Amino acid sequence: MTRRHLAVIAGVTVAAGLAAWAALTEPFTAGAEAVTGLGLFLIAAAMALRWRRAPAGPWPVAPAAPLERWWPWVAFATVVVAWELVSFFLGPRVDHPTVSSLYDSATRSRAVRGACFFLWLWLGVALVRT
Amino acid sequence: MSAEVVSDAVWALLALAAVALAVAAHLPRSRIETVLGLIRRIEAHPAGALAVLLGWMWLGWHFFAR
Repeated sequence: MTRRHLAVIAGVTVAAGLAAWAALTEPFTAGAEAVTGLGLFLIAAAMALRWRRAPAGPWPVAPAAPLERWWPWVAFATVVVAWELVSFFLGPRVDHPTVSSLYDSATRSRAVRGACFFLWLWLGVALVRT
Repeated sequence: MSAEVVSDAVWALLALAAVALAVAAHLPRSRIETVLGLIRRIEAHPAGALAVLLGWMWLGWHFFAR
């Protein structure tokens, strides 16, 4: 087993442990703030290390993607934001749910809450590795 | 048809559209950027990289802590 394998196993174990802890917490409590803060700290520290280890010189620039490859995502994001705003201002939430209220409904189950937390951490790791 | 049903249907359609876009982006000769490509392009600038990191942080704090 290589060092890379061990690092992946350790990372997944830590993430699963944090996700399990998060699943047992309720928003607006010290426990939820602690576990979320720890996740934020770990990913932010990894990102800072990555930037520090980057070779000196200009920031690496990715090749420009033509606008025609972007517009479907821009249009999609515009529709999502517009519908979120419509739902937010129309109310009540039971008739016009926002993303946050949909999330609250979906995460009444602790298992789903833990899975969402794990996915959020995984996204953070993906951002560090990108 | 109640407002709740319409609202839920719109969110379901948007979720399907997100999946369809993500899948279409990976098809051969696709003219749609992949999600990873979008993130890489945004992170190509230091301000973009910081914005992506801050957005991820806000997401976690908003959904899990507050």
